[in-house]
Amino acid sequence: VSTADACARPPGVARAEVRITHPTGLHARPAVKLTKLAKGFPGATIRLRADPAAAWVDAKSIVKVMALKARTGIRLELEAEGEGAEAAVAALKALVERDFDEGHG
Amino acid sequence: MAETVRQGRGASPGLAIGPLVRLAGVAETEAPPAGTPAEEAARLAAAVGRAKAELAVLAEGGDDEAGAILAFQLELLDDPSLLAPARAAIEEGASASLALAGAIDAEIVGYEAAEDEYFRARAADLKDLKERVVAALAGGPGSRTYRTAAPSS
Repeated sequence: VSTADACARPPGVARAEVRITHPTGLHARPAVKLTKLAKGFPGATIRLRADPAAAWVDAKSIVKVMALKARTGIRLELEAEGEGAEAAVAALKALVERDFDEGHG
Repeated sequence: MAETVRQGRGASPGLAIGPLVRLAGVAETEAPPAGTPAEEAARLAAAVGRAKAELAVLAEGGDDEAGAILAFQLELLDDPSLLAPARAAIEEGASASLALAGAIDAEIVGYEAAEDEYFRARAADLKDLKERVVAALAGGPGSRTYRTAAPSS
């Protein structure tokens, strides 16, 4: 997250964007990994958005994360606030970048 | 929902002994709740707990693909936003079974409407999950007959 971004947002809010490169997108198994990782930051509120025009959804809710139906190639926006917000966003972004630690097959 | 009658053909003679639970009809035909909302809420919580314990046991021995579905189902039961509509319906007087079935059916509609074949296929995982919890609400070892045939087995 750049310094310029930091000036344009409220204090304590961390944001990032990441492109989903996993071939089948944010399907059940990656979504479970994502929600479990998000729940590892109990002090942070973490939100996701797969479409800039859509509402943010709770990254700790498998129902909401699956409802994004985020397919490969989509830019996923991450936003967190509260305790560990920066670390949460960084960890989730890294998980998506690592294709959810799954081999492509 | 209309009753579905499935015709089968015997492949070999056999004998089945055990309690019979007609799962397909449980949610639709159940009598109005005998319990208060507090009792129905407690029944639902207990059934969800039992379903989670069953899924956890199944997840231990399963292969990778089955394990992923079971992990998905467990995560769904851990998600307050799945059960919140069910709790609200119970507050308004619904039985635990009807409330739970209604809440999961609402999610199933979203999956069935998906363009992506993969997401559409997840509707089966939610139906399977619904049946597991409804079976747990019906209680007893009869739920085991269903378990052997479910996608999450």
